[in-house]
Amino acid sequence: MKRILPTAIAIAVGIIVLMGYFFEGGTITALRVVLTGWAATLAGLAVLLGIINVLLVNARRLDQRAKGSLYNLLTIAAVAVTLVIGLIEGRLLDGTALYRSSSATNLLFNGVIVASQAALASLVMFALVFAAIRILDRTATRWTYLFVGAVVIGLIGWIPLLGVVNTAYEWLVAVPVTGGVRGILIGVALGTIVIGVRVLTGSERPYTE
Amino acid sequence: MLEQIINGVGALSDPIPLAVLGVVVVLTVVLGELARRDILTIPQRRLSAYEAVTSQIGRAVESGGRVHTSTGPNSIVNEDTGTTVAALAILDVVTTDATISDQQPIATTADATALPIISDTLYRAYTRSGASGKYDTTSARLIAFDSTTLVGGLTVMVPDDDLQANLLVGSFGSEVALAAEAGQRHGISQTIGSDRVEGQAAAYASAEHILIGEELFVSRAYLDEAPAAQGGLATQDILRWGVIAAILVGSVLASLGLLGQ
Repeated sequence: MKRILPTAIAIAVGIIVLMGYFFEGGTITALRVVLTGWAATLAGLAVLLGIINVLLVNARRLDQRAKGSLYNLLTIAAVAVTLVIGLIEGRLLDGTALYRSSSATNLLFNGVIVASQAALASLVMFALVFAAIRILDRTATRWTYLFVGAVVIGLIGWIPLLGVVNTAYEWLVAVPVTGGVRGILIGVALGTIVIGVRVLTGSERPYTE
Repeated sequence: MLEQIINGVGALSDPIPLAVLGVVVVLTVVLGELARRDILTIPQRRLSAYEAVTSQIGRAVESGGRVHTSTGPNSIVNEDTGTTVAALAILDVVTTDATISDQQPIATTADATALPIISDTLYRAYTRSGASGKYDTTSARLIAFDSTTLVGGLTVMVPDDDLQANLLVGSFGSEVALAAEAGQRHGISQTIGSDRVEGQAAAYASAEHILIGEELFVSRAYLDEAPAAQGGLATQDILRWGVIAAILVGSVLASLGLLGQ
């Protein structure tokens, strides 16, 4: 029963939501809207659970005096400060604090979160260049050389007035790259469909044994 | 009564996708059943990433380090749910194998909706291994709410949590190179799988083992060898050949001018 009930509920809900996309105007569409509304509510509640998890994980590491526990203390303090400011400003400004440029919530979001994300994203280029260099040390196969060659053409192909290199770059992007990307995306789509069907038929049960 | 049922269901908007879905369901169920009864053996091509997973876990356990699996920024309530389910299948198998270790395996995510299900997957793996008492709730972690910050957090986790095997499976973009770089710097074995093309390109350059395209979605068939999953694998292969045939036929028809613009 412990195994059958969750599976039956998951299959039934999955079929109703899926059929809601194929059939229009009936009770099934209304049911789909209700069920997806519940999912949205649960997703909102999951964020609260996530915050508790962040606090628990960092408190545990702090308690164990784990490596880098100063950062765990900073994280807990940041969560507490952001939460308190968000709650106070949210109440004072009717939930629009994030969108007002004069609010502390907006300052925290744009000045800390967006800025640190931008800093991290800017490091990606360096990581990719190092990876492209290291790949030749690690596995020097013909595919590696093809990959590095494509990267080099891709990088210098941006420089104008290089004649044949520009032509090679345009051909590379228009033919093999586009074809390859489409092939990979078709594969991903087929994989998603099959795994979705496996969940619908109950042969893949991430929610129970 | 019949009219009420028809009104309840509503009008069918497009029968073709529903028919295709019906074929996929029938194929998956029938082929899975045939595999379960040993009537049909589904051929599997070699996928080095899955072959490496077992040895990765073994090495991590022997060296006293942790096994880490990240399911990425994908959720269980939107269009990338399929990727999350595939990542959960890998997490399930990996955790079951890693429960013998003194060090708890860790699972991370950047989506709050995936956190409870990740936590549950870890707990079930421990229960299955008869070690539910060893399960620690903090081994499932929400690191961030987006992919870039998640990989930023993972770069610190590699040395701080003594990670010895790193499996990053989810909707990662090119930022996955940051996490892979941190792993390489500490000499740990890594497997990366992404449903995004940029993530796959970055992974090819920076990880030892990668899962490309649909390879991500066949984890259960390769790691668990479950008969039902074998059916899914065979269905995926049949669909792929169907798409290839459709492309070839379409190309020939278009070349002959027999296909409308």
